[in-house]
Amino acid sequence: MARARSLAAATAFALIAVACSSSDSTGGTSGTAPEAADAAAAGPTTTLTPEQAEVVEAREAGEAAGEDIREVSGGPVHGGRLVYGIEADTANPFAPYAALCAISCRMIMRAITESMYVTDANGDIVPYLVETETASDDFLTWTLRIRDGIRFHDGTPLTGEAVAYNINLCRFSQQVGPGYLGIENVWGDGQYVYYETSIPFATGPGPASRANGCGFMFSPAWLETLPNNPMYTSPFSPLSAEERTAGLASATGDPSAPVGLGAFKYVSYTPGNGNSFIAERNPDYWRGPNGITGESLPYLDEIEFVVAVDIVGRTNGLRAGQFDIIHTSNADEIAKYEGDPDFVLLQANDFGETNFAIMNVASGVNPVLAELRGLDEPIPMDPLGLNAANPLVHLSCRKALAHAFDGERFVSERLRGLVRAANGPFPPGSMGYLDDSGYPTYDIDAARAEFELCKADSGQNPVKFGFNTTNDPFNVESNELIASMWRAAFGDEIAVTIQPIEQGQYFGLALAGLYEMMGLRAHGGVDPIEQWLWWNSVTALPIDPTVPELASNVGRFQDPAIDAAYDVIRHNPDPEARREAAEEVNRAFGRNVWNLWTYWTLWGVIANPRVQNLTDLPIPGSDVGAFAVNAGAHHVAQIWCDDGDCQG
Amino acid sequence: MGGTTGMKQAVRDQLGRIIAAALLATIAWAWFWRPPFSWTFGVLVVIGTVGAGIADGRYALRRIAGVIPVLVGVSFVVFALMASLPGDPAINILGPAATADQIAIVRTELGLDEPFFNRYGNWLGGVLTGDLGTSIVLREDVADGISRSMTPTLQIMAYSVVIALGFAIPLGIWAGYRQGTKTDGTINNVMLGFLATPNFVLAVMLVLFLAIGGLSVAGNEIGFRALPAARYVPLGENVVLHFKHMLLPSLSLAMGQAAVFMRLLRSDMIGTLRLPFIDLARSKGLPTRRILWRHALRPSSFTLLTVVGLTMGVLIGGALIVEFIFTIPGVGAYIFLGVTQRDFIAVQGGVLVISTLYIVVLTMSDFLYLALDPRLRGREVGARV
Repeated sequence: MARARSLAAATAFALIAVACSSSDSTGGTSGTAPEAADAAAAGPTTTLTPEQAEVVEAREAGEAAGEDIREVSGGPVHGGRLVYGIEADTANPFAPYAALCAISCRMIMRAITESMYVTDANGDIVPYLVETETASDDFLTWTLRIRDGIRFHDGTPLTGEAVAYNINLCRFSQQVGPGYLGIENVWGDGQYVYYETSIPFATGPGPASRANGCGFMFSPAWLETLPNNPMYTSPFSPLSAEERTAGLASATGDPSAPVGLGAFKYVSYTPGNGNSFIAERNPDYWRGPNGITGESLPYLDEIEFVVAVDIVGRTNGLRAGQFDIIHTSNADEIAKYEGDPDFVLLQANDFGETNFAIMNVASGVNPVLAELRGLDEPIPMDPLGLNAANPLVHLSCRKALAHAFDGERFVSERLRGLVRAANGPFPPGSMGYLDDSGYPTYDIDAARAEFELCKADSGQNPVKFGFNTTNDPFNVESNELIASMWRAAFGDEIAVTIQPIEQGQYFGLALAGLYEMMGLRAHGGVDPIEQWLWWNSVTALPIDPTVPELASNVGRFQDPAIDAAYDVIRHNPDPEARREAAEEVNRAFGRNVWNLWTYWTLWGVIANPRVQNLTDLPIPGSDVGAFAVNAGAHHVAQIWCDDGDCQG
Repeated sequence: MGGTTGMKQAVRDQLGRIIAAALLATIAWAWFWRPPFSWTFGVLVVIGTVGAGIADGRYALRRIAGVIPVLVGVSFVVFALMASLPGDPAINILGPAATADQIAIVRTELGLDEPFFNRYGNWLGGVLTGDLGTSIVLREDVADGISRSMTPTLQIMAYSVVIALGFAIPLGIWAGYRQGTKTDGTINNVMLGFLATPNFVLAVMLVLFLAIGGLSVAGNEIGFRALPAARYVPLGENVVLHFKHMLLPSLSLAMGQAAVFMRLLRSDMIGTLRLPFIDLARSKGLPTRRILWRHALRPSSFTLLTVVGLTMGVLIGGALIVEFIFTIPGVGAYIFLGVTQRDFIAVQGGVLVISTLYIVVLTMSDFLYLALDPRLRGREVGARV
């Protein structure tokens, strides 16, 4: 059959070739590929330049930051239209309090608006729209001064009140509000924003998302018109019932037409695969000719983000010229571009995300949460017994699965060996990373010994649980491989059911605790403080559909060692003490196997060579530029194209 | 007496034409007279209207009257299927952590707390005025989303049929005329090759060969970078670019159909070329080309036309896959997103529109059938179609 189809295809092309008069055939360069022998079958054989070899070395060390290191002849040129192929349509609605802002969303956000802070090339979160920040001695109050002279696209100024309004919407949001636990009051006055907190925040106001998510600023005049504004819809809103009703009645704005303050202004948005978000140059950009810094940004006239869900469609579009730049975390595709002289490939895994299987360990009671809520009795974690049959609440079962997972084989078979098997939440180069975290290594004998304990602890034989995955075929196959390793180790005594779940419902189940095990990609970031929300006892909320609560600690584990370490990470300004605490977090994960780590993500940003300066954005008032590619996202204001023409 | 009967017949015919045209115009208004207007669907309806006008009025009226209960039945099946899916749409919208109060509010907003037939009646009432509801995920009117998405899908389908016929008609005529020769054998085998190649495989191969120059043969990279591999350019934006972008998706869908069309036409041509009137034409010394194209083609094309209509279902299914490969924002992409995001309102609307489109296209092809064959006009044709 295969031969017949080949013949058929060959015949087809023979006919088409006769009809085609163009002769623009191309071929890859020949040579050897010292680092990517496995990739040879998929793409042209390559010779890596010294710079590319350096990238490969950095990647293998987990420290590839994705810098655009090309030599540039000539300076920046204004003009051009950049078409960026993105992997998903995740930004709508665009307001940060409602967006599940993954990589594609962050790229659009970075074009149309900017954040209070940015991550610099050293991996530090530094003020950006914020000019200065000061804290009280006890770190219970923070005062931020916002840069003067910045305007939103609707002409309204970025003031302290505007920032406070943005932050308060996130605080009152049911979706992202838990991230602001401990922040009691936020208000603005002139160019100043004030935070009052009930627990000290030693490293800055706000536990996370200062450089992403709720750190992105939008015009309050626009936000006030949105029907999903938490001020009108959230039970946590400080507005009276009458004020909410009145606000909602007049909220007729378009949540998909964002008004930010970034280098590009919204032009149009059409949802769905194959459609796009278009933004044009903002002539009043604060870093532009009419801005306050005297710079000339942005260089591009227009940028279009096209949703191309299928990686094959995305990469074909790049090769055929419909896209000027794409991003992907698909190692197969990244391998094909390594050393390809026709394209620029940036690789980034520094401070990147970790892939893992999270397990629902909800059981017993949560005394920490009860104390926070002022209750005398500890709060039961699973009052209805919904997770009672999950064997993964037992450490022996989690250890058995971890010992039976062959990470090296997994990354070799599924990811061409381009990424590293993970042994903890922090990738190499990040604060808290350890070569040996104490996490169980691949050891079948140890796995079987733990599995005997697991059977006894759970009272199950076979040991049964469901393993949720998104319905992406790659993820389903990857999780099937993991399950096959467990079956190989434990035979018929383990029964794993792979359960593909559609994306829209996927994370909601995790937040509600309605799962046993599920695959996730998360925890990218430069500072462990950004992960507090995921791992502390206070956000390990009960599973109770009759009184549903969204738990950002989706595994619902309570680990006193992690709680204690985070007291240091969040509240102690001493870098060394914070580093040691982060390492203790890593060890605690190793001891208790709250998550089954699989690999650290590698992102590729691939562009045609006419697209210049993909990553080098200076930070005003700093000698250090912005971080190049962080968890797949990079800045776009600094990009220009040869001769002001991205397509050539 | 005979004159009176003839006049009545003429009036009935005229009335039938008017009603047929009015019904078609109503369908167009109800479904697509909402911005952005889908011109392609309009073109199809215009073709059908012209066909109905040319055809027997009574037959057209009866045919359209027969379509209405089918459409209602389809709408019922679609609605019932969506309503029978497990899970509460309100929870899908609000997420699993929704409170009972929130769920109750959304269920009331969606009308889910009403009896099934009330819900169906309300939905059908909305459908008849072009209101398909609001997408849960995309947060826009489903009618707007489908109307927007339908344009590229209909264009791909239409261009595919044109390309398929462009290949099939000359090759079918020639193969029928040269029956049993090497030429006939070669054409048959090549087209069989296309028929045996799934359209998504052909799509990928075409991209490799004609768009990204990456077809590897015996270790050598061969191919061209002549055509786009992704995206859609509206016709109104740039005509040349539009057709460049649509060529590969349309070719991917067309070639398999071309093989089917060619083989059908070839068979009918062989039969037609044996009929006495062809012998008469030959004996009068008419040139072969004139005999083939002017005299033999039309009587040989009825089966082909019927199959072209029936093949719309195949084309719609193929278009959904091809759209994904070429990143085209068609109705396939729209429904795919709806399915993966459990947006039952979008899926319900999308499936209904596709079903309706299929039925309308089949009806149009029947009208076209009559328009092409004067012998069938005014005769009892109901049993045939």
